[in-house]
Amino acid sequence: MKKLVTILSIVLLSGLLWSQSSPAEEVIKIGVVSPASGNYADHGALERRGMQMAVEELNQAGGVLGKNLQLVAEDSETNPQVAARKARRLIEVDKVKYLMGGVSSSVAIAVGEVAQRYGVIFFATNQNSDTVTGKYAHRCVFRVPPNMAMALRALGPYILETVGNRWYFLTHDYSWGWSGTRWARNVLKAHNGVDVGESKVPLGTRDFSAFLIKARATKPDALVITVGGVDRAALMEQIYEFGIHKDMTVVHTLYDYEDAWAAGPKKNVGIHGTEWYYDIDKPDVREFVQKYKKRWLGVAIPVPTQDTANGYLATRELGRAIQRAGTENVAAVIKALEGHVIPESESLRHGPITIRDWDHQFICTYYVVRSKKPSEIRDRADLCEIVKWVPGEKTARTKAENPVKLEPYPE
Amino acid sequence: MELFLCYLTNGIVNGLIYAVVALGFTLILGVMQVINFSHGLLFAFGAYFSFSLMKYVGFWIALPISCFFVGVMGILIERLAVRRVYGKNPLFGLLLTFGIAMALEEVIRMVWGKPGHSVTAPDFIAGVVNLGIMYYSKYRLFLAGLSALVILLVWIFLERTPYGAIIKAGAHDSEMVMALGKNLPKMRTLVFGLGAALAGVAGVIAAPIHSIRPVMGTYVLMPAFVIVVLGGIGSFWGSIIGGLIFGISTSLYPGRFTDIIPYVLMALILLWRPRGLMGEKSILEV
Repeated sequence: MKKLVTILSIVLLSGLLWSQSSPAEEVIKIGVVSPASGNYADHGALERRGMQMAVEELNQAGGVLGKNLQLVAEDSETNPQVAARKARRLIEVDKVKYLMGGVSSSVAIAVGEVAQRYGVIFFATNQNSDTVTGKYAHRCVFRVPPNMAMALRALGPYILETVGNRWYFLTHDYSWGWSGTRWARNVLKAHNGVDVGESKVPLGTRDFSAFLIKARATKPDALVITVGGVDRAALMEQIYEFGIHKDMTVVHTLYDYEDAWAAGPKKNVGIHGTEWYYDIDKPDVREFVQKYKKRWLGVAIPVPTQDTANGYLATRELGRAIQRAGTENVAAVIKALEGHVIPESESLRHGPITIRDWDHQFICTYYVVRSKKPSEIRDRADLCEIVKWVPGEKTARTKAENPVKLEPYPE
Repeated sequence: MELFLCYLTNGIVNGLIYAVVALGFTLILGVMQVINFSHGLLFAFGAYFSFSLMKYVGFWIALPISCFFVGVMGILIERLAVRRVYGKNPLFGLLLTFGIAMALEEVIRMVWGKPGHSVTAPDFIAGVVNLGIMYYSKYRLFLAGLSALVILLVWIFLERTPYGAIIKAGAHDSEMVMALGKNLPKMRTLVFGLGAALAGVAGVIAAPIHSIRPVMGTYVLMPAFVIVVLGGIGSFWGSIIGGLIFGISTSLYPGRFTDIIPYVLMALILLWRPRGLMGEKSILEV
């Protein structure tokens, strides 16, 4: 036993020395805090694939400022405390100046605060709570996907028109879920709809039978759901099991492909809002999907998802911003990002994307999709049909609605 | 009132499924004094085996075969590993099975991949049925019936067969049972296999409710543990009652604090009866 301990410590020590004695390469490191475990593990895997694709693409084209980009990934475990610790580690030990990653708004808020304190840039790649670019907005934080205000202002009117105005809410009980239901209520109220009730669902809920019985008893037109990850996959199973979709329309305010993929085509029902879908009919999207299929041959989810697209965009735009700034200096890169417009030809969606300078929200199009019936699908991956899209300029909060004041530029 | 009845029905149905998971857990804990942390993973393997088999042979054949496989896994775990920690500090068994659980979870990731899969309930029980007070999932009613049947079979085995008598006697005084010429090691292996198979049954029948994924085992372990502690270590009826309490208490008040209720109940019950509702002296006290 003693011998074993000695051997182990020697091995560990030598490993440590080895890693420290290796010469500093000319690379630009990007720290990635992304879930490999917990409620959003599937989403994490998909966003990292997108980041990897962007890094490989930029490096092949000669790198950024003549240096190669390198991703250093840590598991956030979908847990804000863990994520903040990992972010600090990446900044202090790995000396990264740029962080990205996400899934779960609580995680983004925690990592965003660390980033601001240390003066490094953080790209929130897959979080949708209003607060990330609202109450907890920071000079150093940029958020790639739309927030729930943009989501519900695009989706809500469509549901009111095509489904009905009696809504029951299922809310994931944390920052993102609250945002979703709050904005859904705002839209509903503005159109004189009827709020028939709400259930707050704790993170980690596996059995929704009681919630579904309660919802059915209120006889709504639409079951408006802001629940994500593994929990949502279980919820989709049980909606099907209880035949809820026969009595009301199932509406996911922010439909994530990974969750629907897990539930499968048969249990994928309703009308939803979504950030992105691989079937968007544009040349750059088609090319991106082909690239994904070639790069990630044989992986479990055969098409890129909204998380992949966001991870890819964030990494590409960060790399380009460093190039534009001509320096790795954080303040200069922030300035290169602020107000930047990604043209429609490479925004991976309809319309351009504007990186708004005063709250660092990416202003982009939001989509409404309809779940396809099993009889309509081409293959296992073909889950939805896009029925409508709304540009972000029409839905994003105005300065009056979202009075944020960002900190001064970091040193 | 009508809504209350709906919640209660739902709670009993869910409770019966929990009880089957807890039953295997308490059997191993009561007889071998081992806190089997790999129990949840055995549950997950039941679900995954049935997921793979159902495509080829259908539900009714997949059910016994999956259980059998999980039972064999249990026997292997006992023969190769757990056997070495009998009679030692319970922490050894706990750590050992915890390690096994982590390894098995990785095995699932390697074989079936990280993302979840959906298992569809067999056609003859898909859909909903009108219970008068509400429309309810046919599959869950079927599950409740099947769980009750499994519970009954285990009870008959323990109370009405000579094997059951030996098992119970062995849990009480292993030396005496060996002195009487009974093959105790073999019996323990059998119990471990049976406990594992029970986890497997629960995994198979619960698979269409949740989508299956590598972490599902970890999620089910905590309720099983709470149920066993609440009902009393090693007690057959304790785990049934514990399961029902768990199921009902999480169904009566759907809302943001649902998750905490069973834990609060557990704390209250333990304050009143430190050994749980039906418990006898166990390793958790030494």
